[in-house]
Order: sequence, then C-alpha cells, then structure tokens
Amino acid sequence: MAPELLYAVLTLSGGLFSLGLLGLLLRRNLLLAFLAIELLLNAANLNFLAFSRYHNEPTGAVFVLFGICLAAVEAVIGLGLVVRVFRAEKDLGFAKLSNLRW
Amino acid sequence: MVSAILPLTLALPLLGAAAIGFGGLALPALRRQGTFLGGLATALVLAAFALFAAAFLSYEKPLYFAFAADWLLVGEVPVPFRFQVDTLSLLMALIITGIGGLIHLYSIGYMKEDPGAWRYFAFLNLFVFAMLVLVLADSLPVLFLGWEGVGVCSYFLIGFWFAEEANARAAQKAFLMNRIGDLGLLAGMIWLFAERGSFDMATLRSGVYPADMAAGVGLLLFFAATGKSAQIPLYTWLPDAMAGPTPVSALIHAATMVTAGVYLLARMDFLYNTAPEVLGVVGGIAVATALLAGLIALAQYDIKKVLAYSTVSQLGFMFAAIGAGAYAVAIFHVFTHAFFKALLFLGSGSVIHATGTQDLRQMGGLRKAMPITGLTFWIGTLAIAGIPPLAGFFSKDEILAAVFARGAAGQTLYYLYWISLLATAFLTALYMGRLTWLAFEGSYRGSTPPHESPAVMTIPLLLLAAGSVVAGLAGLPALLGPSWIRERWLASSVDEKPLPSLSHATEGLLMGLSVALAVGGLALAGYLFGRRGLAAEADLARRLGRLHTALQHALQVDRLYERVFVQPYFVLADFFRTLFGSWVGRGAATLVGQALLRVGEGLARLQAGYVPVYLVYLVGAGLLLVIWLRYL
Repeated sequence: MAPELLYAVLTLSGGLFSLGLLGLLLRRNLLLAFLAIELLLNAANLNFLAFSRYHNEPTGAVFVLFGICLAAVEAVIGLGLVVRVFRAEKDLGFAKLSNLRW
Repeated sequence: MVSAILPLTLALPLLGAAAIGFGGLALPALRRQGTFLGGLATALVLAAFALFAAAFLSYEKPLYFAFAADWLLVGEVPVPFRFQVDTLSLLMALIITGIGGLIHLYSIGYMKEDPGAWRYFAFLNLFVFAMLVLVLADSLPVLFLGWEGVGVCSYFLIGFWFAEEANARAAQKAFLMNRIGDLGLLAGMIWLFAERGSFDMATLRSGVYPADMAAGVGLLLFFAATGKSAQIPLYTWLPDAMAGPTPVSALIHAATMVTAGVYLLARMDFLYNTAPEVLGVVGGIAVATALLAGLIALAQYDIKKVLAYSTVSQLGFMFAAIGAGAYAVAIFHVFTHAFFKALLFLGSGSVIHATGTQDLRQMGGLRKAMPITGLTFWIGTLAIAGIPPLAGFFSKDEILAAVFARGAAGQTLYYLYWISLLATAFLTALYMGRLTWLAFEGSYRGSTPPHESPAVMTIPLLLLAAGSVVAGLAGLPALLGPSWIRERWLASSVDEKPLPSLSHATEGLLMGLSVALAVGGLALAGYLFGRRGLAAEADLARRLGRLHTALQHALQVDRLYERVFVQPYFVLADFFRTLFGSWVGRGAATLVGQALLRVGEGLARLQAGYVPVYLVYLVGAGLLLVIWLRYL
C-alpha cells in the first residue's frame, strides 16, 4: 500500500472522527449522540485497517474485528438504554436528563 | 548455694503484691480477709529477709544474679535484668526487708478496721519490691526502674485514703516533686553512658572521668537525691506525705524511699571522689536542710509533722556525711536511723490509733495508759537525740567527727558545717524532748480515753526499740575500737575519701561535746515542757512572736513554691489554652473547615449533570494528555 493512499485514508478517518466528536458535543439528542459515537468507533477502525495494510501486519485487522464486536455490543446496550430513557422521560434531550446532578 | 535462691528475694514481694492485688480485684470476698492478706504480705517480706540474712551470714564475695531476658538494647549495649548483692546492697536489703517486715507486721493491727487493707498490703509489698530493685540493681537503668517504682508506690500509699482531696493532693505533690528530681538521675545516667558506653556498675566504677564531667554528673545525681531524699530545694513533699496511713510513713521514712538518695550517692562514690567541690555543695545543702528542718520541727503541733521534719533533718545529717566523703558513715546513719525512726513513727501510729488525733495539744500523760508505747517511744527519742550508748549517738558522732576532720584537713568551710550540725543536734534533742514530754508526760488533755495497742503492734515496737539500743555497736568510733560497718563490712564496696585521723583526745572532746548538747537539749525540753507542759508552749510562742508563726507555717516555703512555680505554670497553661483553644483551635479549625467547604462547593459546580459538558471535559483532558505527552 502506497503512502499516498495511507495519507488519504488517514485524512478520511480524521474527518470521520472530527464529525463524530462534533456531533457528540453539539447534538442535544441522545439518539444522535449515539450515532456520533458509532462514527468515532468506525474512524478508529479505519485507522487500524489502514495501518494494518501499510505495515502488512494482521494484528490491526484482528483488532478491527474486536472493535466491530464491541460496537455491536455497545449498540445493543446503548439502544436498550435509549429505549428505556425514552419510555421514562418521553424525551431524548440532554437538557432533561439531569436526575443524577448534585 | 545461696546465689541460687537469691532471685526469690525479689520474686517473693512481687508475687505477694500481684497475688494480693489481683486477687483482691478479682474476688471481692477476699478483700474482707485483711488480716490474712496482711499476714501473707508480712510472711513474704520476712522470708525475703531470711534469705538476705542467709546471704549475709555466708557472705564471701559479691554475688550476681540475672533474669533470663535482657530488658533493653541501647544501641549495641544490652541492659540485662542483672542484680548485685555486695556488702552495700546487702546491708540496704537487710534494712528494707527487716524493718519493712516489722512495719508489715504492725500494719496488720493498724489496718485491721480498714476495708481497703487488701489494696494497702499489695502496695506495701510492691513498695518493698521496688526498693529492692533499686538497691540491688547492677546497672543504672534497672536502678532507675526501682527509683520510679518507689515513687509510684509512694504515690499510691500517700494517697491511700484518696477520698479526701488533701490526701490526693499530697500524693500528687510527692510524685511530681520526685519526678523533678528524676530528671537529674536520667540526665546523669545518659551523660555517664555517653562517656563510658556502659550502664554496668562495675564498668562505670572502673572508669576514669574528667573532673568537670564527674562534677556535672555528680550534681545531677545529687539533684535526683534531693527529690527522693527530701533535701533543699525539693523537700516539701515529705511533710505532706503524712497524709498516708502512719505505717506507710514509717516505711517511707525508715526503710525505703528517702534512703534511696543516700544510697545512690554512696554507690556513685567514685564520681564524688573525682569532684571534691561537689562534695562541698552537697555538704552545704545538707547542713542547711538539717538546720532548717530542725527549726521547723520545733514549732509543729502535729505529731507526724514533727517526725517528718525530723526525718528531713536526719537526712541532712546523712548527706553531710556524704559531703565529708564519708559514704560508709552516711550508710551507717541510714542503718541506725531506720531503727529509731521506724520506732518513732510506729509509736506515733500507736498513739494516733489510741487517741484518734494527731495534735500534740490533745495528748499528754499517755505513758500511763500505754506503757509499752511510752517506753519504746522514749527509747526512740533518746536514740535520735544521740544519748549514748543508743544507736543514734554512734552514727551522729561519726558524722560530726567526719565533718570536723574534713575541716581539720584544711577545708575550713567544713568547720562551719560542723557548727551548724552541732546546733542541729541540739535542736534534735530539743524538739524530740518537746514531742515526747507533751505527748507522754503530764496529764491527758484529750477526750477519748487512750488504751494500749494490741500485741501485733507492740511487738514490732519492742523489737525496734531493742534495735535502737544496740544497732550503734555496728559502728564503734575509733576511740572505742574498729568500726565494723565502716572498716570491715562496707570497705569492699564503698571507697571513702581519705580523712585525716583525729587524735583520741580530740575525738573524745568531740564526743563529749555532742553528748553534752544532746543532754542539754533534752534537759531544756524537760525544763520547759516537762515542768509546765502546754503552758511553756504558749509562753514560747509569745516570746518568739512572729518567728514562731513563721516556723509553724514552715517558713511559707510551700507558698513560695506555689507563687513562683505553680501559679506561673497555671498562668502559662491558661495562656496556651486561650491561644490554642480559642484562637488557633477555633480560628484555624474554622478556617480550614470553611475553606474545604468552599472548595467543595466550587468543585460541585463542575458536575453539571449535563452529558455534553462531561464530554467537553473528556475531550479537553484528552487534548491536554496529548499535549503533555507530545510537547512536555
């Protein structure tokens, strides 16, 4: 894999990561924040794959499998939580979710 | 063979104290058996006496015994529980267990009615044990252990009837004043260790010390002795120590406690032989104490107070002998004094037992009602006054001769000491005569009819009286033959500073002078108080005026100490209490508390409860971490 391609992929994953972070910080909705976290995870996965190919080293690719697995588990728990919160509060805005505040 | 059973001498009194004390604590039913417990305590002490007597009879050379485990490790130097039975410590041990045993026996009768007798006998046994540890110790830390043990026991026994506040205060005073002196012993011990690297008696003794160091340590140890042995400036606790039961006073004054200081100085004779100028200080303080206490004793009405001041005065005599470098003579006076002072105190206890008062003005004519007490008390009086051939005469005469000889050796200051001691000897005869005539002669002035004490109390009196008559023969003056105690017995363990020997004519003259003074003092007392009783007392008080009042209040020394030391201490304590209690305590504590509260409130605001804010923290912290790892 050529270095140019690596740079391009890294730029792409950087962009994805920034988008995810921005979404996480700016969105006021639990579900959308959750989607943003998925973006972050995938940016990280992309990085792993890119370096794995660049170094001809399978470890990174294996790690991605773990990552995907983690994302799946996270989706199950996270979405479950979202549903529970929505049922309890009838709303998914962060502003209302402050029961644990001091 | 004897050395194998010697550890028992320490074990028996300790065992008695533990058995009686813990037994009484655990089994309240046992407490009612005061007579039985007293008998047990007495038997144990007398058994220890028998063992010491066996050691005495078969004595050849110093014996040592030690307990298996070491006590301390000071750096590399171990301090074993090792004990030494040489001629000096054996003599002291015989006094402690012999006189102490008689006092135990007497106490059975004296404490019969007291519900706290079990406690009393436990402490009495412990007292004897502590004193034995003190005199038998082969190293200074073990000696210090006994020294402190004696102090603690005296605290418990002086404050035995602690329900009355005055008694508790007297106990506290005795303990605290002793503690002040203890500081001297501790400092002296450390100094010696720093110089010699050992605590062991034999090692310390064989050392060669620079004169100024020996003087420093000597002064420190003497300061310790002024506490324990009631000399100026720390003597004021002893008259107050009367608060305890009378046999305790006998024990403190005769067999244990106050003789510890004399013993310590005699044991450390090598220091004083190196530093003769310290001996001058010791002698000066001793004769001043003797004279002062003799004067105060003259104006007291409490029978026990008179005897207490007389002890202070007699201790002054002992330290005067130390001051003359005649250590064995000091121990000789300890020996004879133990008999007649125990006798006098036990006799006064018998009187108090019979009349229920300690006030001389409420007594009089007691000899008729209490013939044995009266007779033995008279013997004690004659002995302490120094009438030959009773015990006090020999030892007092030896002290006077030693001090005089030191003066004749060119240290003219000692002539002054000698004159002062002569005056004190006269005073001794006078105040003891006054006491005895007021209490035992004339007609009875009290209200409760007196009665003779039971045999358990009179037998010790008779034995002590016999001792007071013959004990002096242990130390004959050079005129009459070799002094056994000085030249045969103690010579192996005590190095006296050489004194010029006086000619027989001078010695005879000195002896005649001291006898004349003793007889004169007694005759004057008889003329004043024997003829006119209390009327003479009133007459004397009127004629002496304010001096009499001042002496009666012991020259207000207690008040002086109260003003100079106690009050400023309280003021200082108050000041610090205000400083730390109110200002620093409340101020600083409030400040810290408030500050923590504020910080807490500020930090609590960071917890917004709004998830995006936490994310900002997370991202911010991540960025900071990156910056830190990358650029710093």
